[in-house]
Amino acid sequence: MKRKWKIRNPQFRAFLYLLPALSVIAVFQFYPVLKSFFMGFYTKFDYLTDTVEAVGLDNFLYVLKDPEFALAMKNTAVFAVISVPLGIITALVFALILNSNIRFQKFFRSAYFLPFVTSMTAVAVVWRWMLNKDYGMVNALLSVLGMPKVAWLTDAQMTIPILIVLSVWKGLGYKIIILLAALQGVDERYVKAGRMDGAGSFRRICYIILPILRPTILFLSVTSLIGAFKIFDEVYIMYGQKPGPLQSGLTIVYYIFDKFYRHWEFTTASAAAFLLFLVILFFTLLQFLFSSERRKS
Amino acid sequence: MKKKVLAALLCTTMAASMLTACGGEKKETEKKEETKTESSTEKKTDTKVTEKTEITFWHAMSGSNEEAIQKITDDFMEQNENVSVKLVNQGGYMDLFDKLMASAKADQLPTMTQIYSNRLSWYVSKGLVADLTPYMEDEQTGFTEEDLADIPEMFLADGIWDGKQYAIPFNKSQMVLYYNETMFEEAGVEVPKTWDEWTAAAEKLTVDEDKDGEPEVYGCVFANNLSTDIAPWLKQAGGSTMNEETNELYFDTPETKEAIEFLNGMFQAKTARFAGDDENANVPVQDGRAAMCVASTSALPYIEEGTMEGITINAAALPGHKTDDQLYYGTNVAVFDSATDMQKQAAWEYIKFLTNTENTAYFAAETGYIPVRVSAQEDPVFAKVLEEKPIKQLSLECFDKGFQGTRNIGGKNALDELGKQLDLVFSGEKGIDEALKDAQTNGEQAMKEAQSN
Amino acid sequence: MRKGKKMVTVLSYVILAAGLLWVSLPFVWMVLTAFKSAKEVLSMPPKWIPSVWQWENFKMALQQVPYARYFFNSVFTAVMVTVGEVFTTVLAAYAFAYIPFQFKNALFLVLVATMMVPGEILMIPNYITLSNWGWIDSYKALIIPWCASIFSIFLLKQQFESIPISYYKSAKINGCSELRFLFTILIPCSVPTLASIAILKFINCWNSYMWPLITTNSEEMRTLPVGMAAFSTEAGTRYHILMAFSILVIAPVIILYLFTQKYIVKGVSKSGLKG
Repeated sequence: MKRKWKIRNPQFRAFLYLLPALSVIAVFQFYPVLKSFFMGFYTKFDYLTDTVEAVGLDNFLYVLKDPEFALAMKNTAVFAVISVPLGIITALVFALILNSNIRFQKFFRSAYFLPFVTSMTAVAVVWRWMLNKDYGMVNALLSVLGMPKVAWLTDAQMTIPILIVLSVWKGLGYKIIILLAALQGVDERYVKAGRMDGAGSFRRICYIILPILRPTILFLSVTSLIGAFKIFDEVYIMYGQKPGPLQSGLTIVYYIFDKFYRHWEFTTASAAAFLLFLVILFFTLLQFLFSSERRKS
Repeated sequence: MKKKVLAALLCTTMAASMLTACGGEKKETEKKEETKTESSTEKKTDTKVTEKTEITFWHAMSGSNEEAIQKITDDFMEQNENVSVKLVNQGGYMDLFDKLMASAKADQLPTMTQIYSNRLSWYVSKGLVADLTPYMEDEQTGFTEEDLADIPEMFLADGIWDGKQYAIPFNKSQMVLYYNETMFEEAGVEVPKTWDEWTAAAEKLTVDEDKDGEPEVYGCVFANNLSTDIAPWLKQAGGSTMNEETNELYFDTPETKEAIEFLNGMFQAKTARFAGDDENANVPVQDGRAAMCVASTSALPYIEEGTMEGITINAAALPGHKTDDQLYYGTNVAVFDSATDMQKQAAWEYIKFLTNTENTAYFAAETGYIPVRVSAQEDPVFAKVLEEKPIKQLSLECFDKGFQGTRNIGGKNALDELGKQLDLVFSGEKGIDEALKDAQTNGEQAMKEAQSN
Repeated sequence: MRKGKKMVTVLSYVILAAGLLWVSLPFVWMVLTAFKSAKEVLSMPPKWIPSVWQWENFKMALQQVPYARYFFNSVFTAVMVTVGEVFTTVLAAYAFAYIPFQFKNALFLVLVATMMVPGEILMIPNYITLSNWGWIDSYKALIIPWCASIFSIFLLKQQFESIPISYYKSAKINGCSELRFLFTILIPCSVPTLASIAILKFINCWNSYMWPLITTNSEEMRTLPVGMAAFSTEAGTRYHILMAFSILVIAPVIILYLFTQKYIVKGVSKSGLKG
């Protein structure tokens, strides 16, 4: 009886199993990727009726020539280049300490992970309040140390540093857990062998543990780099829906959002979004290259 | 018919006597009582909404403003059983306008909304807004002649495009100079009337006790988005922001330069600053960290609530220069064309109720806004508030010097470009000449882009 | 040598404690502010401990917005998205792990490539799609686009593949149908992985801000993070109320996290090992 109901054709069976997931992915992921790719080429496009009258490269040229896009690129790149290594190094220090014979390991790990599960909206709101020039906690702490007040949120120079510290803070626990998992996979024998050879703990870390952690660190670098290029929510909320003083917090995604949602320039926004995709693709390919090389060697 | 003529006569004489003289107030209030009872009996019959209708009203009012709207709306629904009004708070103005734009695309526009005219012009040009003229002229439920005469010309004109009334004034306010009375008295400074006096006052009132170059008390505080409402200074210098007919921008002109030089002088001397972290210019004045600020009268309830003990805040008209123009701003209410006929009718009747003498007076009494009808001054509720809070009188006194902002499509985008350049000027990173030149170019570009959308 | 070791241990604890302080300070400041009075919030220099703990702030926060409604929306959408994703993920992962079909590798590659696309790019066309369908301002808009995740499919596929193939073979020999095999053997064996997928999804969905912000219009559809917008008024932010509300927004997730840490840690560390 049962056999009767069994679908023999594996093609069709696989299709049925994949159908729910693929239909959602096709409509909300495949299609929009293609759509935004094409929309980037629409040069005359009626937003209200969805009719395309002309196509061309104008949008891409416009975005590439737009000094604001250049600024957004620069801000985002500076943020990414500093926050990614800083985030990983900080997490590595904590992970190494936690991996040694330390008490309350679980407690520390749980605490460090808290920011990761907290909504960015709430976090950004709290940070804005902490950094308030006159009433904020940070300046209050500084004054205890006898230092002058800093205009954190209105000084353009401070924007990127704040965003970096915030991103390191938010991602610390996540990176620690991943690094800890990798560290716990490190074969104790290597470490012991190193110890027997008389290597100090610093050298053990440099010459034995780090090379083993290399793939994990690479993975973290690429994922955080991609994440860093997508920074938006924290700027949007922390700076009261503006891109920070003197546009110091104008990031690529902010630029896209602004074009799309504020200025109703869908086609320019799509072109910019596609350029962002290219940047991210570049880093992803880089990861593939690295990891395949690793496998070879 | 006879009744109507009589009422019209009554009201025109009333309005006339009010404009010319202040005497005979008692008689007028008596007369007013009569008209009021008359209109309240009319209210019950004057509706064309014959079936249950739901209308949605998007707004950006919170706190006491929202409470006042809610109360008026509840009253309306009580009197009009067929209509249910759904008030939806969309957050701040920025959130509201972002949402409106998105919902225009989604074909999900609400029945009606609160909106600035410089934003509404785009919707009007796209044919998305209902023309309220026929509703306004309706014999039975429209505005009477005296209704029209009662609403200041400046406010009505703000809602007219091509001779058609697309929006009705709702919450209007004035840009004023708030100041800390005690600080002025202690320093022996008079409330400034001119730009020069203003600069001098700001300098005198700035306190930097520890001489670290970062004053503890600033002379004056400006809103963070100064460029959006930069118009009064350009006007006072004899210029303007842009031409509403030709879309010409006047950013790179000697008049604009004079205005920016004046403002920049205060910023560079560190006698003025932006609200910055405080978000709103009135906040530092409320707790004694600044002596003056430029803000809207709509901030009044917040100022009343948030002012620290021992501080008295008063307000004055903006100091003038070549002219004494005063900026009035605030939103209108508009109905979208996507609504059904019945909804439009219901929305119209609701708007009419919202802005009638009694309710505009109530709204103005409860909030920092100005009544949109002259007759509101006679309303006992508002008259009492006027007596208690002299600040409220200010906006009524300045009507004849008042103007409202331009409404060009993309005008806001152009002003944003000006703002970006001005930020560079005020932070000392760019010269005024160069910045204004760039503002002109970028502004024209931004405006063109917005108009092609 | 011993002394040096002791120094290292002490230093380790100092670093850990400093990290703890850094991580927790924003939370501490949030809680302290939430209990202060309006005056204390705006005092200079800032006061650390509220003189009277103002529980009323929470009451005021709850009065200002329909918290119950927002809470329900947040829970409902997060639960539905989680259920939906687990459902689609289980089926798809099974197909990838056990059914030999044509173009499997090609499809796999396409999915990997899609995974790299930043979500913000999808926002624009998705918004237009939903509005053409008239889905804006509905639960459908909040839930359905998020009901499948390529990343989860891969994670679960790996888990399925780690189960010895002999199970599959013996099930087949015994005449066990595929679905039965999936539900009675594979799923019970994969509970920890499924749990971590589900919990991380729930938390992500709970915290999402931009999407619910742009796709909802009416108050009845808003979720908690979006509701926070109502606390900044035209004339300033009342931080003590805002902080009280923030606590109410993050508390459910933090409680969930504390009880399900085990699975979260497992899920996160797995995602890292994959690289």
